[in-house]
Order: sequence, then C-alpha cells, then structure tokens
Amino acid sequence: MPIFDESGKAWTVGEKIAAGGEGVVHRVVEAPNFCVKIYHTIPLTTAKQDKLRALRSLPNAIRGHAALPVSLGFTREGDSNAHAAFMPFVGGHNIHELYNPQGRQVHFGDATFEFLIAAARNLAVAFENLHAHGVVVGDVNEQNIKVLPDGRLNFIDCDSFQISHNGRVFTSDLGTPIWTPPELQGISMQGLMRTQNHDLFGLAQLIFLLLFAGRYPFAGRPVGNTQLSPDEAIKRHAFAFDPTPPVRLLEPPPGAPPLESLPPAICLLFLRAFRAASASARPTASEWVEELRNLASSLKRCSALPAHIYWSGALQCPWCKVLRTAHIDLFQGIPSPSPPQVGLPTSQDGLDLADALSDLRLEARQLSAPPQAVLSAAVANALPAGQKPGGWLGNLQLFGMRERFVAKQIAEIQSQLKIAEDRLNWLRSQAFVLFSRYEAEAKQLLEDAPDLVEALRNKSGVNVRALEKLHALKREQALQTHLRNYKIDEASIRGIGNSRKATLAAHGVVTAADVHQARLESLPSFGEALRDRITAWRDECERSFRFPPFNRVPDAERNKWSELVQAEVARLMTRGRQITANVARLQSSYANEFAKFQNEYAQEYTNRAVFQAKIAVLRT
Amino acid sequence: MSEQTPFHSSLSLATNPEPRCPCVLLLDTSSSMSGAPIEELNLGVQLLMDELSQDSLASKRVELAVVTFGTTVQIACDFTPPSAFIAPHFSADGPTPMGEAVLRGCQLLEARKAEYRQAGLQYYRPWMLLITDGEPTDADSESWTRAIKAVHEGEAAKRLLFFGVAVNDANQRMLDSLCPPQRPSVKLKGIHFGEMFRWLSSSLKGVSTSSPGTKLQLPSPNAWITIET
Ligand SMILES: Nc1ncnc2c1ncn2[C@@H]1O[C@H](COP(=O)(O)OP(=O)(O)OP(=O)(O)O)[C@@H](O)[C@H]1O
Repeated sequence: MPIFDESGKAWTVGEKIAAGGEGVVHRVVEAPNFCVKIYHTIPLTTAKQDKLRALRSLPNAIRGHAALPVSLGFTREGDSNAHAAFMPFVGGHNIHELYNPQGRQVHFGDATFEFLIAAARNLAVAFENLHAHGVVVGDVNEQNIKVLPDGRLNFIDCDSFQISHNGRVFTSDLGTPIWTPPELQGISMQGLMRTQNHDLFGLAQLIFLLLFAGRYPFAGRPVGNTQLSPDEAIKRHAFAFDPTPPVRLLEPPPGAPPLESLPPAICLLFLRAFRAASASARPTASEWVEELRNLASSLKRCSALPAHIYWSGALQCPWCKVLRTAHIDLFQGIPSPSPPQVGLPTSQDGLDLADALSDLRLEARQLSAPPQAVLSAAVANALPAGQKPGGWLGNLQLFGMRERFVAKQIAEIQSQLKIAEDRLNWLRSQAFVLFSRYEAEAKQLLEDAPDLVEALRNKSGVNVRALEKLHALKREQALQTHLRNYKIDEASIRGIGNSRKATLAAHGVVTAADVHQARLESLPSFGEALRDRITAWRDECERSFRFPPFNRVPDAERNKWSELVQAEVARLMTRGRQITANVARLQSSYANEFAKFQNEYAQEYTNRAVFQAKIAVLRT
Repeated sequence: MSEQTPFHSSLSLATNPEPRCPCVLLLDTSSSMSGAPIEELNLGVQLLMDELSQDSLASKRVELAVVTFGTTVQIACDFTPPSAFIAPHFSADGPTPMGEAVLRGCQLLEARKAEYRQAGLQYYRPWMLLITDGEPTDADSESWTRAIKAVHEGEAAKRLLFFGVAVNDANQRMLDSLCPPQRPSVKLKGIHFGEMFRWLSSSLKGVSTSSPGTKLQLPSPNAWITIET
C-alpha cells in the first residue's frame, strides 16, 4: 500500500530497515535517499502530529546533522490524520560500533585514533548546531547517532528531540538510564523539561567513549565493598578516572588508557562534565569543538607501532601501555575481516603469506672483489703504458745505485701491500661480525614465524579442515566441561576409598576431566588394575556426553565458525605482515651497513692490485 | 600494592567494555522431558542465541550460561556472549534435582560477577530463568531450602530477577514456593519454547534501554503463556 506525502504524491513502501519502539522504518522505493517511519499507534495523536510538523519546519542549517522529517505520511490522499513520516535515509553505523573496539574492527576497519578524534569533533559540531537553534536532543544515546565511513555523523529518531515552536514546547519524553545525567536519574521523562546542559552530559560521555576505546566514564573497579549499578554510579558522580574525587568509589579499570594521556585542557572538560558541580555548567559543545581541534593538531605516531597515534604531550604511548598490561592491541590497523561469505571461503592470501614467511631469512652477504675491468683500469692509471715506475731511476744506473733504490722502493710498497692485506682481512671479519649481529636480531624477529606459518596454513587452508579442527576443539572444550561435572569424590569406584581419593585430589585429580593415563602412572601407590578402573570410570562419564558431529552442525553455526576462523586468519595475517615488514626493515639496514664495508673492501682490493702490479714492474 | 589481573577477563574487557547483562538458564532435562519437549527446548535455546546475536548491542551486553538438571546437575555452558555460543545438545534422563541446579546457577553468577568487578565492568541485575515439567526430587534436602532462600533474598535485594516456567504437568505449587512471591511461575502454552525464548530475547534487549524512572517494562508474554481461567 502506498503512502501519500503532504503534497498528495504517492510513494511505494520498500524494504524494512529496522523496527523501533515507536514504529517501523522502511525504505522508499522511488526515492533511495529517503525512508519512511510508519508508527505503531494509528492514527497519531494530534500532539505528535503537531510535533512532526514543528520538526519539519526547523531551519535547514541543522538538516546536515539530523534526519529531520521532510513530510508527514498518510494512508489516503487528502487524509488529515498522519500515520507516518518521511525523512532522509542515513547510512553508516550506530556510534557504538565506532567506540567499541570489537564493533570498530568489524565496521570501521582500520579507523585510527585520529579518526576517532575527528568523529568526536564532528559530534560536538552537530550538538553545537542543534543547540544554536534551540533544539535539545533529550534522548542522547548510542543508538540514535549514526556515523558515516568518512567520520561525519547524523542524529536519527529526531521525533524525540525537545523543541519549541510558536511558543509551544514539545518535550522529548524519552530517556535511557546510562545516558541520563545524575540530576535526572530516577525521574520520569514524561513531560519533563530538559536543558542543553542535560544534553551536554551525554555529549561528554560519548566523547569519552570515543577517546577511551569504549570505556564508560562511570565503570571501574569498585573500591572496597561498594557495588554500584550503572545508574547509581552516574547518580553518585563515580567518575572512575577522576584523579582527586571527594570520595573514591571506583578505580580506573585495568587495561584502560590513563586520563593523563590526553591534554590537561581535555581532562578538565571531562572533570567539569562528570563531577558533582556539573549539574550547573557542563562544557558546551563549542568548548569541545575547540579543544578537540587542538588535540587533532598535536598528535604523534608511536615509534614502536606506527598504527598507534596519540597526543604528542603524553609521556608514553597509551596504546602500547594497554598492550603491555592487558595484552590487547586497541589499534592494530587491521583491515576489517571480509563479510561472511556463504559456503566455506579459503584465504589464498593467508597461504601466500605463510609461504613468504617460511622463506623469510636474513641471507649472509659476501664481500666481493671489484670486477677485473675496474682493477685493470686502476692499474693502468697508476702505471701509464711505457712508463716504468721510477723510470727516472734509469739515470742512476750509471752510478750503480739502481738496485739499492729499487730494493727500497719494493720494501716500501710491500709494507703498504701488507697494510692493505691486513685491512682486507679485518674487513672480512667485520662483515662476519655485522652479519652475526643482524642474524641474531632476525632470529628474534622470526621467533614466532614457524608457529605463525603453521597456524596460517591450518586456518586459511581448505577451510573445511579449519572448521573441522575448530569443531574438534569446541567438542573437546565441551567434553572437558562435561567431565568436570563428575567429581571423583562423589564417584564409587571399586578399590578407591576415601584415602585413595585424597591422594588423587592431592595430585590434582579431582574430576573426570583430570584423569589422564600419564598422570595416573606418576602416582606411586596406584597399580594397573586401579588405574584401569579409574580410566573406565572416566570413559563411563564420557558416555553421557553429546555433541553434534561435524556434518550435523547447522549451517548458521558453521557460518559463525567460519567468521571466527576468518577473524583469526585476519589477526594472524596482521602479525605475519608485521614480521615481514620488520624483517624487510632489518634487511635494508643490514644492506646499508654492509655496503659501507663493501665499498671499503673494493677500494682496498684495488689498492692491493695496484701495489702488486707496481712490485711486479719494479722487479723486471 | 596493585593486584594481578587475570589475563582472560581483561582480554574480553579491553575489547568490549560494554556493561553486561548475565542470564542463567536452568533447564530441566529429567527423563519426563524426553521426546518432543527436549527437542523443542534444543531448538528454542538455539533460537534465543540467534535472535540475540542479530542485535549488535544486545550481543555485546548479554551473556548466557546454561545449567541442566537431570541425572546430574551440569554446567552445559558457562557465561558466553550469544555470538560465540554453540548450543549444547540436551538429552533427557534421570530425576529432577532442581534445588541443586538453582544453587549451581547462583554460584556461576557470583563467580561471573566477581570477574566483572575485577575487570571494572558494569553489570545489570542478573536474570535466572528456570524451566521444568516436573517437581524437585531434592525437595526434602537442604539444597531445596537453600535454593528458595537464595532466590527470595536475591529478589528482595534486587540482586536477581527470577522467572519460573512450568511445562506440561509441572507441579506449579512447588515451583511457586521457589519463585519470588511477587512473580509466581507461569505456564507454557503446550511446548511453545520458541515464543518464550523470543520473549526472553526481547526482554533482555530492553534491559539496558528502558526509560529511567519507570519500572522495568517487559514485553507481554501472552503469546506463550497459558492463563488459567
Ligand atoms: N533516517 C534513518 N535512516 C536510516 N535508518 C534509520 C533512520 N531512522 C531510523 N532508522 C533505523 O530504524 C531504527 C528505528 O528507528 P527509530 O529509532 O527512529 O524508531 P523508534 O521507534 O523511535 O525506536 P526507539 O524505540 O529505538 O526509539 C533505528 O535504530 C535505525 O536503525
């Protein structure tokens, strides 16, 4: 059934985008840039229709930041009761997919910290514009803001904005506890007049989430016995990252970047937004815009891991710190894993990378003599044709002094020759030392390579095999969990009384999962018969274990698995590429240093040839 | 002096610091469930996971654990996010040690909550949903009285939300003595586990998004409960 807009034109309702609490949103077939929200309550109340009309008449300046309705929608032409609203279609992903590291990896691939700052700034700009036009967002939350791949954002669900139109205020009536400022916690939102200062709590929290890799400002390790629900934590201003709270209720969670990894100006804004005094004056959107711009222009790249970008004033790279303490790389610069494919994909890239990795090694370079032509040229240069060295000595022949002079000359050149030869030997030994030094470094870089190669071959090979392995692994996990339910303590096994049970427990054999032949054999007082009985009991426990065989695993499940495998392959590949890049870097600095030796060697080699030639000529 | 952090929980925390909503399913797998009911139950649990995985926010927040009770009380699955959950296959056999199952569920919850706290993760009030078609065979034991105490105290302190679902000929009077007084058990229509798990999925999705200052609003369970007239 078509939906009519206010001008009476009919539009075809297309594919459903999503359903919300208030209505279902569909695409509009004839207008791909638009969508239509069809409300559940039909017809809409007059108040709601008035609000939609008021929203429709908001100035164009804010349309770039919010998907405001463009027209009401009706079931019949000329109907006066609307049941729908047309609005621009907004692409991209919900903002939580950007700040949550898992979501970011899937939907925003290699978004850097710089990108997050840009998005945070765009968000502040959007609030700045809405606030400048008197709009209060009201229900600020993680599902009402969509981020485009280029970092621009748009508000959706704009019918929950609080606006005033011709002297009449339309309240928002909606709220979400973890996005509600402390002063409004526990209060009903119905008909409540909200202020821009309330919005600024949500803005600050969103910016915090973007800059702190999805950490909530009010989540931390409880101090002592305090146990706060998410809403209570907000209500009690328990900002976990506050360096000097009046009462410390929460400590910063482990594995979070520290507050001081951001410029003091930004830290102060967070404190103003989240401390108790905030109820009167939180930082405005314009203040955020300003400080985020400053931050964006004072970033640096980590020298150890170039995907890490951070404020240049920080003492150390905060992302390296998280990597060291929580073993998580929050910015790996990995491309997002490819969308799940139907069937079982294989990853040729993974196999190629495995091949490349397995061939990777630092080859020793050999010092080489300059080409014969170079040598001859040098000799020719030192001994021009037809001219004997010491040719002028001919005049001395008369005096019978030639022999003495020649002998002296030869001795002199021979000592130079000796120096050149020593130098050549020394260069050869130095080249060897150089190689050993680089080889040791390469060995370190390549330490994980064999494991990685094997993992890559296993996981990116014929994927059915990878999935079978995963299946076997899951089965094994499930089996262990199953076996852990059977306690030896409670079992009745012939010949195993309480004291034997105690011995078993002392050796770590507590449940059926702990029963292994090797472990039993290490127990002194357990003979073969007893061991067999314990093993038989374990097998008995296993008998009630059920797990679907590989070919009976539902397709949906297998797709899920192959996504897991793919994500794993993506991770392995990042690691593999890192190794390849590091080894390449090592190779080139080895080549550079070696080149210096080689130059010297060639020079010295030439000298030697010249000296030898001189001596040969002198001797004739 | 700083404490050591277990590697595992800081791992999932650092990549997904969303507040968590833990939910424990206590499933009756005693012999009376065999045949169609247990098959429907298997499909229903799978459906719950699928529905939750499709909601990207819920799949970052909800964590499920499954405890079965039949021949033994078993942890069929410790807390896992829906997308990583591989539904165990349940088979029916044995008696109905319901009290012990409740206690095991509470233990799991306590352990998980300690992990959340250690990792600095927020969490919502945990859910526990028990499905049975019989009556506790451990009603004379201490487990049963302790289970009742755990549920009632947890509810009173708002530390737990407990739901009892009766299937077929379940002894609803016994089940009600376990359920919190303000939320007696409900009776499943036939063996429509699918509808029930769909309801559970949308209820769990609503936990973190319901309006402040209002009571937790659950969707209507009318599609799957039998109302005695
Ligand atoms: N302009 C839009 N462009 C693209 N998708 C949209 C748009 N508006 C809404 N959607 C999608 O439809 C979903 C529901 O829309 P909306 O939030 O407006 O409905 P609601 O009934 O008010 O929902 P809620 O109960 O979440 O407030 C959104 O989460 C979003 O995925």
